[in-house]
Amino acid sequence: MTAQIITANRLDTGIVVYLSQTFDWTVDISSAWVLTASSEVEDTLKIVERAKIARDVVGVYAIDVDDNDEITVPVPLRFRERIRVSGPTVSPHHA
Amino acid sequence: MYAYEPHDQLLVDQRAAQFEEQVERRFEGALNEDEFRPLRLQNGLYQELHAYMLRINIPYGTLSSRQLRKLADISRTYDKGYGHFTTRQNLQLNWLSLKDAPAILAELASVEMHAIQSSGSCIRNVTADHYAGAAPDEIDDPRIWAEIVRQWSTLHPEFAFLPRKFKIAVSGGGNDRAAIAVHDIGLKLVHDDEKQIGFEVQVGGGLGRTPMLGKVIREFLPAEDLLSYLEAILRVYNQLGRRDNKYKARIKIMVHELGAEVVRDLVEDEWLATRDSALKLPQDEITRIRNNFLPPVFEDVVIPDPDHQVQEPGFIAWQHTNVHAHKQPGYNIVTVSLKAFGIAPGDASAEQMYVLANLADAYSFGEIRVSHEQNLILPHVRADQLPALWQSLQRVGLGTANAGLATDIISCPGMDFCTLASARSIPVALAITERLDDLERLHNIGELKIKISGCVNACAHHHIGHIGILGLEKKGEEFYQVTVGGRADDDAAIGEIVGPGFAGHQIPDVIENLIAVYLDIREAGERFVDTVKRLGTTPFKESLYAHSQTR
Repeated sequence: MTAQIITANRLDTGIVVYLSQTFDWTVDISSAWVLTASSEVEDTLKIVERAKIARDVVGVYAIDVDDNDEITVPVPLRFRERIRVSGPTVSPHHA
Repeated sequence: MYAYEPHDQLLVDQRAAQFEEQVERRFEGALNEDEFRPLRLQNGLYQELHAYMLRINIPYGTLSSRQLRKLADISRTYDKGYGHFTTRQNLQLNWLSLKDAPAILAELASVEMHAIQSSGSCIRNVTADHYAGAAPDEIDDPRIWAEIVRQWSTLHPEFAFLPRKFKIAVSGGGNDRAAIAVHDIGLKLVHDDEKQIGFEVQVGGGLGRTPMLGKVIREFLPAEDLLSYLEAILRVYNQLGRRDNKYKARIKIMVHELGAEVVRDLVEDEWLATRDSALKLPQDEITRIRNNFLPPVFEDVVIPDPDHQVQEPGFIAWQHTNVHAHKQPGYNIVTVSLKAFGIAPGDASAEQMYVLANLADAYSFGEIRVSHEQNLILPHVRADQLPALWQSLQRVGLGTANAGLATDIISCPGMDFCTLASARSIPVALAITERLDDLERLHNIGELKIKISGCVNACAHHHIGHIGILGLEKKGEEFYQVTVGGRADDDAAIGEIVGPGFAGHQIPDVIENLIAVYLDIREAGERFVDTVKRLGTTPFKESLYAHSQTR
């Protein structure tokens, strides 16, 4: 299967986070836990749903990532998810 | 300007307090997300791609300088120091935290504002002509009637769970500047033969994935019957609107499936039950509300001799496009463009909001309007103060002379911010603006309304753009479908798709191509949209697909 990582938005700030292998939420996609078996993804989503850390986030789901050996940081395959990683593609000129 | 009664203030204060409790319970885990989501959406708070977004209602686009300062304060304190004005005359803040939302609602309540009913299947913020109270061609000030509709529709218990969202727009009766034909209900102020004020009522307009123009179901509705007739329409819709399919749930589908004649008969039958009820508007109540919208005390102004005014080309260009006739001699309406080069359409920084609030106090009786074209309006400016105003606007990047021109683009936030989007829209708008960044050329092209939506929901009204651009996604890539010939004026029309879509980087060339065709075949005095009406879209299609490489 295509490699996947688990993502969500933080409940308090709404910012994008990823599930790490230590079962924490991290804003750093390079620390995201890359899952390579579909059963692993399903099991992890079920565990997250019941875990205490589920309270900290909203909208938990898995996304496809490119995770070949030459890539050290998982790169989401969907454009939308790449925008979630890097922020708006237009400069926040007023920020 | 509307004025809250004590019960209005109580309502928004209580709502802010209730939401604070709800947020606390959410953080404590007493409410899960499924339970909490409807509560936050009822207060206009969305989870978007990068953060929470708050959609703040600006009733019929009317703002006081005090309110604009408060919006600037909020954007600076809780957001990234800017806000995004939308096609529904609202303001969206894109970078909020949930924990701050209750405090923001309390701050809004302190200046008679809120975000109630800016989401959900209910009656949304009522919109109106942004030149209301100033336009020389209006029959009556539409804000009076929009305010009456606002009071009636706020927390109306019968219409809190409609089949789908519901949008009402009011035009003052002259040229349609409120795009009433693409609203669920469009109200146009008219006179009857005896010069009594009333409304022409259109029903069933809307954009989205199935664009349709509203159908007139009543030529003249006496003004005093406004609410009873609206209630009758909403009752028919509430019963017969489809709830089995979200995409067929808007009233436009009901009108399309039943036919306007049948809908009219159903509404008229229902109206018999409501017409002589407590909903009939008492004259003294209309007068009371009218008194909140009395015109300011205008002064006698000696209209400056154009030969002795500022001769700077930039000012003359700005005066040509951004200054409009006013009903009061010696005064003008000014469009403050939020479409400067390199800036996302509709965005204003906190600093710009503060400056504009001060300029509104100095030059426009403290009044500001938000247009559905994502600009701000100073409605009452003395003709002899235009040069000073322009210079002040220039200093903060608000003096762009492009109102109604090709770079006055409407754009939704698109995939850069929105969870619903299929493609980006702001970068496309910026690329077009960059390509057309030549004031003389822009003025030569003349009026050209380009509208860009990032998905089929059509928040940027692309169907009624003279040139409309719709962003879609196919196999993970963005592409853009182009329509030509849409318009939202008295001759409203849905644009025609010209052919296969284009990649984003091709869109500036597409626009150039369409403009070149127009310049080549236009007759004297003809706007882009007039040429399309005269000749159809064929010349544009032929040129576009002869020269552009399509996907």
